[in-house]
Amino acid sequence: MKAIQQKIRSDRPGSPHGLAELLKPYHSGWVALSSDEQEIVASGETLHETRARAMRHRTANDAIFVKVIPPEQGYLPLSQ
Amino acid sequence: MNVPYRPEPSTPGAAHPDRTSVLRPRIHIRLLHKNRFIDLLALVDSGADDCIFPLEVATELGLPLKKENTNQYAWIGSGHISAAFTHVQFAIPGEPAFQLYAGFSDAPSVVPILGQAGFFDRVDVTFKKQKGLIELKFTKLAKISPRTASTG
Repeated sequence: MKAIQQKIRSDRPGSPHGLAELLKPYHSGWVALSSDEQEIVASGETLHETRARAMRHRTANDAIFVKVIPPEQGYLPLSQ
Repeated sequence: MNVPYRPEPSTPGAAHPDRTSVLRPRIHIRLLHKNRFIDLLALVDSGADDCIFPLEVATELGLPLKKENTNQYAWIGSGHISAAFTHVQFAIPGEPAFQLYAGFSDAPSVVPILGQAGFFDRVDVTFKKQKGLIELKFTKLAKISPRTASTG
């Protein structure tokens, strides 16, 4: 957990526009980010599928899973 | 602790022709159950009554859910959704874990949400959008180490 915290603390605004670029191709489902949030290690329509794919790269335990909010839609609390 | 807002893509539209990304207060969390855990980006949402997660998360963790222990929520545009509640171990990296009473919903567009009950009850949250930071101050935390969990 300490390692994860260090990764997060080093992730300062300004640099992480990369995350928007990383997520750009995805319009639904889930993506698995590397623990430093610098790359996508897997994606899929379901969490199970995405975890399984991340597991094949032996990264599932380090990955951070993100449910994609479609970029063509905004987000409002409890809206769809 | 301060954690950053996350930039996420936004497709420009008629109302916002120059908007290609949005900053969202999604933070890195961990949910744990027995020997399983999963790390997620969860949206800090002061407008949500409760903490809600996609049902898939409960399935991956092997969390037992009782259908009768559900709550319903107003859902703009489409009536309501329901979520089944149970306790799950919750942690933010670097902070002590605590038991979170959270709902799990199979509504397709539910994303991990940290709402008032369970999260804002325990964490003082200050949004500093102009600095791109969210300040989190933890209170009333049980001394449970997230290190007790091993693999996901």
